[in-house]
Amino acid sequence: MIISPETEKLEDGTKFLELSMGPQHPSTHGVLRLAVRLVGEVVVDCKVDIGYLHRSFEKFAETWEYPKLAPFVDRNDYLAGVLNEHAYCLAAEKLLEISVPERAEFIRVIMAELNRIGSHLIWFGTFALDLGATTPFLWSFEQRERIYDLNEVVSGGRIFPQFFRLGGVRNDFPDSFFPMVEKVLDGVRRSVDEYHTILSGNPIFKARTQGIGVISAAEALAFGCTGPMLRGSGIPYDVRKADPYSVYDRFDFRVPTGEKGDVWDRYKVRLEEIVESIGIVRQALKMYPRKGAILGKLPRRLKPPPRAEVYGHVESPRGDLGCYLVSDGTDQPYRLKWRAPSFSNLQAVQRIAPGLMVADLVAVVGSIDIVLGEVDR
Amino acid sequence: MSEESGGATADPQAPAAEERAETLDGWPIIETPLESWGTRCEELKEDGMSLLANLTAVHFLDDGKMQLVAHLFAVDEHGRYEAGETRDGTEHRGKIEIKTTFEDRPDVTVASVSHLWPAAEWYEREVYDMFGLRFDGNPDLRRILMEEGYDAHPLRKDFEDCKPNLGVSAEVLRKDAASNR
Repeated sequence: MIISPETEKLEDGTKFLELSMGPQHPSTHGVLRLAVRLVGEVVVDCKVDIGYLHRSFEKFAETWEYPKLAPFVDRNDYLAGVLNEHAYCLAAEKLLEISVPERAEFIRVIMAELNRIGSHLIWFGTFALDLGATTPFLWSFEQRERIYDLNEVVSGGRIFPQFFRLGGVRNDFPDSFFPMVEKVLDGVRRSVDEYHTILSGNPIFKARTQGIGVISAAEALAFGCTGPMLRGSGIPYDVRKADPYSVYDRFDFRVPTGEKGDVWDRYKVRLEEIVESIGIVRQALKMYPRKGAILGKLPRRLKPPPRAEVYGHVESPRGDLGCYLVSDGTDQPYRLKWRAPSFSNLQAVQRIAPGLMVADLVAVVGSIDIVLGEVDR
Repeated sequence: MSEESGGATADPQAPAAEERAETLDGWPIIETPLESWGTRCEELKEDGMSLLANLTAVHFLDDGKMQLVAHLFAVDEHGRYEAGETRDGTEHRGKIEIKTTFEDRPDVTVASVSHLWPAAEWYEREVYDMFGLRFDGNPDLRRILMEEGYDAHPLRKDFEDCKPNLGVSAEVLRKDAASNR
């Protein structure tokens, strides 16, 4: 942290201190700068400064062919690679009129839910670390490692699986996957109970999270918050339920919600979502057709209708992840817009922060589960 | 999965049909002139479009047009999309795309919608940053992703690719490269 030398005054004459949290600070989860104004230890104003991780993805996308872009989108939300691919593939497949075989849809759902679990596990560990608890971090990373092992067995990549193709997926599950995934799911399920024991019942943790960083449902919606951020405030908006894509309408799962919209509610929602995702994977493994194609037919020449547009969106671990494509009739997108859930969720910090203590601001930023890769793109 | 929908593309020869266009996945598209962008958005907000999911622009270099696009969802308190009808008779299933197309001129300003959906504040900043469009009424219209003082708008189609802009002029970089050879 850099403390600026000048201390200035607010309109009513109170002296404030300008503090720059980040851009490089463990609690900012990447490269994020919060320009905070403090009176004593209380935040009176907070401006979020982003763009440090901008890699001009949207401009790049305009120069790449549709199929080549699918592996590249992994890099946006680097904690849940295949979910990015899912959003992109949904949009591009609609545009290019490619159909996906049922078996591939099941493989996609299984991989997506495993990645959701992995992403929530990382969030759990780093969030606890933000609040000063080191042990949960080590515990959750042990389980996350197992999820990444599964990624590796299926796709060869751990963090960036690059697994989805337009029209399906790259390869089938290997035989070793099935006994392994059962073991991993059992392990994660047991761990979630352990997490509740070590953290949820801890009075210090409760004091640090309950009633902190409250955002009402109406406000969360107006700020474009989605995912656990909106669900924590009590609106069970989940793209998998509201606008079912892939084969999500065949599974039985709950959308956990909070009541107050504080840090605690967002924490609870995510832990419950891990359990729900385990349920979805188990159902999908039962219903998964063992035979059939995994890649649909791709036209020899990609010719989308000119000036056509399409918006595909999925529920990523962070919220409503959208991909807007505009075509000009060639095999490259004319314009691609990535609707990143963290982008809007992070903006709401500016609204939540005033009135908080500095230490609570760390808890709030942690509870939002930002991935700067998708905020800055 | 593959849902058939008619009128997929906005055919430039048929402006009358453009009014009730649809996206490829069956969302109604509302076309509005630039002057009524703010009021149309306000009406849609009053008609229940509670979530501004996306706001962006597209630059059409060939016909010198700029297009502003917003994706709106009517999310109710049960987290579902609320189907309905807007006051001009557009039926929807909880999802609407609204857009406005106008001449790409440097003096154009668009009415900001950030007072309706605070989410728009950052989206408009991004559009300003990437396309150079100015929004009238945005409380904090600064660059958001590119650094302050950067002099181009990269997502415009007339942006020169790979123009070095790191506080170092192209000439210096060229000299530098030559001396390293």
